[in-house]
Amino acid sequence: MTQLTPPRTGTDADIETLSTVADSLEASTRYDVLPERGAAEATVGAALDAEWEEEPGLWGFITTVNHKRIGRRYLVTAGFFFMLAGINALVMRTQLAGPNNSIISPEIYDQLFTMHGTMMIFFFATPFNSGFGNFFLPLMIGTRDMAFPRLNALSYWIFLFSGIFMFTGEAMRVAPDAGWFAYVPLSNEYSPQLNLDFYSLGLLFLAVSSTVGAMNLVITFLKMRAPGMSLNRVPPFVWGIVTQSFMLVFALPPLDLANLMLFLDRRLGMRFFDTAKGGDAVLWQHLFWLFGHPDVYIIVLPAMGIVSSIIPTFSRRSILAYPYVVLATVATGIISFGVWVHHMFAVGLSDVSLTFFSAATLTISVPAGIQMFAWLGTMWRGRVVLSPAMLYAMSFIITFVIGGVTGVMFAVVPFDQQVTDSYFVVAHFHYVLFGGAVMPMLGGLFYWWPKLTGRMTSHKGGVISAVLIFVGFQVTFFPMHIQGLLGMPRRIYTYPAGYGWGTYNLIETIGAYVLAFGFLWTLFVFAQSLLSGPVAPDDPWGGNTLEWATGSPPKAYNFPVIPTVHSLNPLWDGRTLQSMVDHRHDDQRTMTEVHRTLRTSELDGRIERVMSMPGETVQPLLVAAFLTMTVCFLLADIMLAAAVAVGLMGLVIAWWMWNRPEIDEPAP
Amino acid sequence: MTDVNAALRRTRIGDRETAQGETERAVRRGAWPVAETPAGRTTGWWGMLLFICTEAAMFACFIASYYYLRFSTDGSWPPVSDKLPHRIVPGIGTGVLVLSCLPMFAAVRTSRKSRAVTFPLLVLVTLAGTTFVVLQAVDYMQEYPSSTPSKDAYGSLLFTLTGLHAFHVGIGVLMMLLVLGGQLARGFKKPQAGATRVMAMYWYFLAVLAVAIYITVYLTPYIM
Repeated sequence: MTQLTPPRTGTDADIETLSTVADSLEASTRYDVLPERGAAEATVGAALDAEWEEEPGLWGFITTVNHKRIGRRYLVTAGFFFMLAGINALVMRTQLAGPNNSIISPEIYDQLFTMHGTMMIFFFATPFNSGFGNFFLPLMIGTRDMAFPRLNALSYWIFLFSGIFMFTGEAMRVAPDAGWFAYVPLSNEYSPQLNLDFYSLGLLFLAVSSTVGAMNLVITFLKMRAPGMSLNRVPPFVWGIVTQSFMLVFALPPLDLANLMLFLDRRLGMRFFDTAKGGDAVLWQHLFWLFGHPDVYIIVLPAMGIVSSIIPTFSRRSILAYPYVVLATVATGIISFGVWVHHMFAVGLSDVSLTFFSAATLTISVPAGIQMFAWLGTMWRGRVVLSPAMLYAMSFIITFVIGGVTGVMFAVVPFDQQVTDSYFVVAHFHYVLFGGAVMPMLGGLFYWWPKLTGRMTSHKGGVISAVLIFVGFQVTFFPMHIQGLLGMPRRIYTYPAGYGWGTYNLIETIGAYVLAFGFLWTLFVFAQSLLSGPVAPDDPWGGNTLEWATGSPPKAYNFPVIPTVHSLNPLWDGRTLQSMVDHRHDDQRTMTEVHRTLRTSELDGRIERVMSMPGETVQPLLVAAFLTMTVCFLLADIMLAAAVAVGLMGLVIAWWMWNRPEIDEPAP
Repeated sequence: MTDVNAALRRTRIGDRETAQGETERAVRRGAWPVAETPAGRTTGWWGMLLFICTEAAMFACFIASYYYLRFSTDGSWPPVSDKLPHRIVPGIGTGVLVLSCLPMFAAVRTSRKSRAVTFPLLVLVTLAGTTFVVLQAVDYMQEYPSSTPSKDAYGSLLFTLTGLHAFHVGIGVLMMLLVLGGQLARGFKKPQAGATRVMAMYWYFLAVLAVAIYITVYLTPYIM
């Protein structure tokens, strides 16, 4: 039957103790198509192809609800925003290369660092994770689409339009300029222009997308897992995405509320943050950081999930201490809601709250440490294959540990008060966010590129990319620690000579250009792969999770036969793939009529019923378009037009709710 | 091998109960060690639950902000320039909304059997929701001269917190109209049990929220 590993009849625990399956790496590359998938496709592929075929051309492009196309769009769009926000940073680094530079004006500099932070956090990091989640979560849990495919399309369109909205502000030179956390009263009474309206409206706009996207991922995880995938067989990456999505559901509301209050204060003269009229400026900080700290983990947890996918595959063994990795992920998500005040140690709050939040902040390093040891242990007990993805995962471990250590330093209140608002902070959060998110994401791109595009990337090109990015990053950001301890404040547009900061700044600027070259090189490697890369087989790396049981790139219906999952490493246990052959004549597993997939139970993944999925529709794009109009009219202060746009949006939503597939199933 | 359409027919009506029953039968047969309960939650049910979670988080933050600003204000609350809020009219509105949970509950119970009874019950709930929104507007006219949204933080909190909630009740009324329209258009034949059940979850949430907001905005100024 399978050539990958001998068929095993053991339990999860037996699979866990398997030493290595390195030999399967060579064996698997012999197949372009996995024999089990080939057999299943031969039986039902033609019928499914006819049913799931998508409309070609522009109409197909705007009406698609296919999670793989939407996931790829997320990645491309967020990648583009990353590039723009990165260019902002490069301009800032150029300005800071030497003392007393005046390449750009201070006003523009303010807008650049605000946009850099805001766009990187909100419009790159979170949606890039959503891109991976959208594409790979349904594949990894063995289903055919997201729980709400149309909502998924809506979530993408809103993300795209809100990103364009934000960059329109920058193009008009009225981008937000009060820092990415936009403290009042600077963002309120001292900012009469449109700048901060772009901020509050843009983030409220985006929050719609993030919220519905997060709910969709959670419900897909709960109700759509392949039969047999009980909670203890869910891949760590899926756990990362699900924890992140749960966190978004609870963390976005305070940010939305803060932005709503800011908008009402600015536009309708309300007094939430007006200290002279009974308001309170610190309220903004509490609401913002009640979102802001969980957001760090919203960005980092899925990226850690990517690392937990790469490391087992390229260590050729199951992940070490799987239950602890999952529990640590979930624990991080929960504890992260109780540490927000460590961003406010210098505000002047009471000693009691400083002590509590200092202790809570120290606590959160424990689950991160557990995961770190699990990855190291997996590599130690396995046989490491140094692919580009693995190099990125290792860069992540080194960089994130450094960022974590400086993070623990910040939990110590006196130290925090000493270095707050200095370049030490800048160094810390770039180690955490670049090391913790960007490096795993790049690793994820190299790892999953064959699945995303159907092409292989150049091994040598990938290795050079990993080295360039690692070196460029360290040269750019390591000196910032020293420079911060020397007292250079963040967010200054230039600095006088003679403080001993000039050399460090020059080194950092050189590092930034190396980093930029590294990204250009990476882009080149991917472009070269798209144009002339070898065609990818189904399972090029001998991976352990279900996405490798689909085609490269997967067919519109993902799985011709929904498999029965027998272990945490379904592609290594033999029986899971075999179930695709065994069930290929079972209507309940092939579901060749209409768009259908299986609905299973939340805990044990037992079959509940076959459910119908909606097909292509233009409704999501219409809703997003009317929402965009609403936001633009609110910005321009044309309230009547905004109300009309909201009404039209309501009509489309009513039309949408009218046609629910579960109602339109054939009558009994 | 299972006949898909037969399975669909079996699970169409009373989806949840059927799945529950199947689970129990499987346990009795000895096929599964223990039953996973509750079984048969739909994706729509989970969608509404998560939606309520995110909304509840936002209102919790809003109510927390109310108390935060109230306790960081020295002196009287509301400030001396404002009068105490009117308790009667919003109290009636809140009572109507809470009582409307009864016909809502009855509608859910009847929606799988007698859909001709469900319809008038849902109409009653819709009217109650509309009454709440109207009474909220009446209250604004009472409060307006002495408190305004832009006079001080007290006024901003009063109008925005209750306004946001009334807006949600308004959305609930529109959703209810959609459910009613669906029943009319489908001639009471196609089941609407799922939609009614999901709608009811949202309605109960709005009622609980109304009580929390009533206590916060209209009662606590009298006792603190």
